[in-house]
Amino acid sequence: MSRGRQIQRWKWPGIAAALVVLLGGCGEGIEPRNDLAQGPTEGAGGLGSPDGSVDMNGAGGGGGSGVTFHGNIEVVDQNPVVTLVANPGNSGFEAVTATDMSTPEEYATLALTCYASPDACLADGCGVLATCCIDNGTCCKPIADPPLPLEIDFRACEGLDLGSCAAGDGTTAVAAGPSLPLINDRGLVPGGDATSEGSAIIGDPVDLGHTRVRVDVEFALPVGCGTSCLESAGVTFSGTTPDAFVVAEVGLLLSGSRNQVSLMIGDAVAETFDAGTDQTRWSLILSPEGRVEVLRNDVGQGAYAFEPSKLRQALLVVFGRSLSEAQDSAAIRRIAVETSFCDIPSSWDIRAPVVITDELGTALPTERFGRGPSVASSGTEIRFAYAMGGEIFWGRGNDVGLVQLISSAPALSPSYTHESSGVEDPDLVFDGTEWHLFYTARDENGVGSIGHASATTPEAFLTADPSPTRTAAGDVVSLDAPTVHWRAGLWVLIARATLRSGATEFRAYYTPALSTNWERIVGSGLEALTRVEDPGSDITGPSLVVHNSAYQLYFGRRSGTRWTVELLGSDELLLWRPLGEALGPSGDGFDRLGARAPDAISLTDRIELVYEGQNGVSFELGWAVRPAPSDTASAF
Amino acid sequence: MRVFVAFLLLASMSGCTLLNAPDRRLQPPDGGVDGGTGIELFCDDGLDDDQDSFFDCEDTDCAEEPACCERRTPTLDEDWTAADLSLAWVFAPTIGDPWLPARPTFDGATFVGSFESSEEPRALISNDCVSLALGGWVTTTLRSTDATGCTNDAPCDRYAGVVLSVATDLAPGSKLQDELAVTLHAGGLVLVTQADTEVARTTTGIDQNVEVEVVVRPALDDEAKPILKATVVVEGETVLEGFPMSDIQDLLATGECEQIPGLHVAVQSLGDGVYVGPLTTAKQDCANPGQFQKQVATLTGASLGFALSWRSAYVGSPALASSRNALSDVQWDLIVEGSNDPPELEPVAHVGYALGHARDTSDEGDDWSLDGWITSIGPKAGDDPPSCVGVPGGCDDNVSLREPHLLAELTEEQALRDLVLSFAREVPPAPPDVFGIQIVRPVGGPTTPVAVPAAPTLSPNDVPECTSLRDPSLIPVDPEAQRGYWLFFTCVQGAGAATEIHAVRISRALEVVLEGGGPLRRIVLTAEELGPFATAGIRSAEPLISFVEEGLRLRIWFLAQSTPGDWSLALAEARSHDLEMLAFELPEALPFPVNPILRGDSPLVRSDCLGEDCSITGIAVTRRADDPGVLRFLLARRVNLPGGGRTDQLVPLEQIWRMP
Repeated sequence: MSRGRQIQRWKWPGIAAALVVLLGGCGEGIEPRNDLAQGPTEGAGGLGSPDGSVDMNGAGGGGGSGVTFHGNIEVVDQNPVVTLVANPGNSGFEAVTATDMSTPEEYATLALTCYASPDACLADGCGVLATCCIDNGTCCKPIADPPLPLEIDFRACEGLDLGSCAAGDGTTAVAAGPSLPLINDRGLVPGGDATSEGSAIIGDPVDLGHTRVRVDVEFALPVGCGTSCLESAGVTFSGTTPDAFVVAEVGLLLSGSRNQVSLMIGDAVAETFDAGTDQTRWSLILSPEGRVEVLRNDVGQGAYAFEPSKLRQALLVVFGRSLSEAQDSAAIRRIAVETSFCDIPSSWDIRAPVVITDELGTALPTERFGRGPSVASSGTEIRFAYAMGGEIFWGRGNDVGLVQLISSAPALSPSYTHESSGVEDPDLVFDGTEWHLFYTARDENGVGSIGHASATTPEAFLTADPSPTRTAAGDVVSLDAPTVHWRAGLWVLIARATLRSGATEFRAYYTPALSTNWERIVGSGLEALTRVEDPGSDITGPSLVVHNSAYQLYFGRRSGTRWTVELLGSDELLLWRPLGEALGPSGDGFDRLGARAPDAISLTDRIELVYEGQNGVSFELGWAVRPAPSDTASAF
Repeated sequence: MRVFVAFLLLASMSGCTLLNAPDRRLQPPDGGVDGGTGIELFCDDGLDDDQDSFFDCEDTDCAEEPACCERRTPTLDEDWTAADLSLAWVFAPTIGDPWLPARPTFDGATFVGSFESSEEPRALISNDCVSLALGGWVTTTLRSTDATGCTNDAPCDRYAGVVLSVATDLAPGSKLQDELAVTLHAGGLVLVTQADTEVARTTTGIDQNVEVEVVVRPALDDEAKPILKATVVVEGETVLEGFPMSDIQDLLATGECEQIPGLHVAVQSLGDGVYVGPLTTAKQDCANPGQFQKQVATLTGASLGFALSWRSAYVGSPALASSRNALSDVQWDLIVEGSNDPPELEPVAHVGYALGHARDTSDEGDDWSLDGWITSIGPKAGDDPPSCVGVPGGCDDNVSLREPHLLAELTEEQALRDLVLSFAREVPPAPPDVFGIQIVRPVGGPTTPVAVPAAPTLSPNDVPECTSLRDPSLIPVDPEAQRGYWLFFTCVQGAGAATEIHAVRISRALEVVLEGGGPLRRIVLTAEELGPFATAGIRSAEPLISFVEEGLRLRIWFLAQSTPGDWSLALAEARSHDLEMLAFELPEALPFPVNPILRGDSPLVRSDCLGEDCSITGIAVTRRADDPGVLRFLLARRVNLPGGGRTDQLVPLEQIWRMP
């Protein structure tokens, strides 16, 4: 607001706080930064650019202040980007890098742009990065059996009742209000009057939390409608079954007297447009991240925010009021719908407590208090592991939330000195041949290291290696909570490191084979993004998967007493994109206050996640599922 | 001499102040002490905002703020002497064998501890929730009698302490989920923890009483989200200060905490030899703008006697004024908007509104009556009927009038000298539903009609940023309004919900005061700067101003929504020692730390409604003329009826503002 116009916008506490920060000298410049700058001291890295012109703000070794990719081939040598990329076959990544790997600055330049801010994926060229497809309602795949009709041309149904008309187009339509819509040569006349609306529900409920929907609609404008007529027709999504009135959570409504089409959001007018003619085609494009775009004859009219959380079982409703003769009333000539589903991290369909049974199928009620659950797929079965009492148990995931133990005896018990205080935080991995278990091993002083065990046959107990696969070193005094991702030729390990300072952060390592040493990934922004120095918070329990050509790293964050599962995305394990809360409090049941300790598996059409639910009294094992398309997931 | 709110002047001259918030007993602000013209705007930012050398709570400007308030109302007082502790405490875990605490006496006081378990923690959890959202205190005494096997530099397996928790039980083998816990370990180590993670520590001796006080106060975090901050004092030493303890939205809001959210307080112990003494909790007894008392006389269009012709489908957006008259203690003037068509038709057709006036002269100091109202019967201003939806030919010449506000100008005896009425009005030839603001004085009684001038007092053309001006309200620039008013209004900038409240300076002659060729205007509230509760829009400011010797205090109630349709009532406050500033400037308004003060889904709003079928549609606020320490609110709500109909109610609420 300009003082020059003599308008004063009052200041608020946030502004004052910002001033305090600035006056305190905390500002480090005005260039956008990725906030990934501080470097740890363990391992290699710390290469800097004299000019710093393309600052990737990665972490560096030796206390380096940041790593740049700009023309510095050594950094690329130390971080084999092509090897680390989530899906080397991803055509988008190839477009950037494969043509000339001697000029990595091309990728660095693009990545700097595309990781610069939460909405940076909207920048030109960023669509090639797979992480830009996460939490992006424009990056979706068609639904094989769509819940809504591809098209209904009501005019072609003249003389039919509503249900028959819909059935002809392979869908359903059910009148919902006190008066029945009718169909004539103008289309669907909604019915209704001054005291109630006529309405009908089209098709099946749709989850707008992860579904992208485009609705095209053509209205028939009422004939002879003066400035006070009530003729109206609309199409909307509603979270409730209509009665006398339709709650238009997000939709379009034609007003005859106003000669306008209104965008309705939250049952209130959010914007109005000139109604045009009977030939005007209106389109609503609803993206599950909460964005609705209005098009008029395919020309964008604006984009607006709506609340998808109210529309997890959304009904497509046609509605309106018709006081005139039917041949003069406002009507809906035609609707057409396209649906596709998207990777929206917070849109979970199922959140269920885990029930664990013994080999005979008898429920074991105390096992629900297990810790650090892990889930993995072999392509033919899903295995589930958890820790309890310093030992690790495993079983088969027979269905969502149902686990049958392979044996009531622990799959892994402490055997070596580095495990003397117990084993915990299991992470199961199947490498195409055998099951591997990575875990936290704690010695008599509670110092953690990363253990490895394997099972050569599906029914065997796990056999631990006599020494840890990765131990704390350098400035790291303890390592725990491992997550491991495998693909042919690459193992990636991310674990929580406790530093000498008492701070914790995630660190990432890789190796081509378990028989060789883990190399630390240098220049990664992961450390700074996950560093915790405040006792009022905590970050732990990472889980790394590749889904739809992008790394997705789930982890638990504690703020005060409340845990939430958050998500980071990365294309190559060097730059990371904070994607916010993925699984929060449900408000009811075993996870009503929060969730932590996630472990995810990527499947072709969904993400499944096991976790610990928080209810204020205890933590109990849970299992969540959300739709999410992927071209790089297991087909299991 | 015309006197506006003369009782305020009288009060100030007599040495008392009316700068009261609900349930407040104010100390005089420091204007006369530090001599500055500024105000300590932020009471917990570590800065001396008014540069009077007093920082935050040191500055008496802040004495009544939640960040600094020291007055306490006890909420729990436990001396552990009751024969049956289970009447007030849950013995947790509730599964397993019953157990009893040891209750030794030290220095004449009874302690509890040794909960018959050396294997797993046990706890006594208060049955009642303890209100903390507006600030509070927990005090107790800890004592270790046996340090055997334990040192004062490390936790050990024998301890006892006090815990603040949402939990009502304990999982076997687990500790209570601690929003904050202060625990004495047998060796003398005192740990302050959250989520069982140490956040502070200190050490004490063995066989001595260790006094512990936990102070919690509401504050806003960097994202304007309400949180509780905790300070822990052990043996007079502050071991933890301003620790962000909980989001206020995470607190319990049931039972004893229904009005002021809070937590359970608990005593948790493992092993022998460590005990917890008498335990008390208290809540702050300063500002509580969220505390309302519902009155019995809920009004409707029918009870007020308005004719159906102009209000059959809707009555709402009340304006309320209070004065004394010769016949009774209190006279109430109520003006409402109404229509013969429901507002829900607005998306499909133009709905017109008119204003009706009702007056109750029979209030003898209690509740008002349901049937004693003198009314205008028809519209006091506007057309009858005001709306013609579905009527062939319509009523295109009608001018819709909406959202009235009344400002009472009173004599020294608090009798009504006049009313100043402001309302939103359409401004032909602009399209329907484009509103400007009309201000009218005098108003007269209910049967005195008010003619609507051809041109509004303030037109949307005068305020280019706003396509329409709604929800007007007035405050005087000085106690007698001799220099005019500030006109608050909602600035509508598009078809969606408004996000800004502006104010324009109005002269005594009811003309817009100009500055630089346009109205002297200030932006008062902006939704995006208020916090999550206002993300989806704000409207309907209801300001009240108080003048005293030391300065002025402006309170602004307004409606805010976090998502479309969930309107709640919120509050912002502004203060200044500079009484002269109002001629050209408004003091900066800051949101109350615990907004909203009345949620749309609160029992008060939903009471007597079916399910969730009630919503706030408007609010009016005024002082009671017979008791300036009491605010009367009139909450307008629209109620869905079974079968599809809707009706409207005006629900009177009161808040007590204590005198010093």
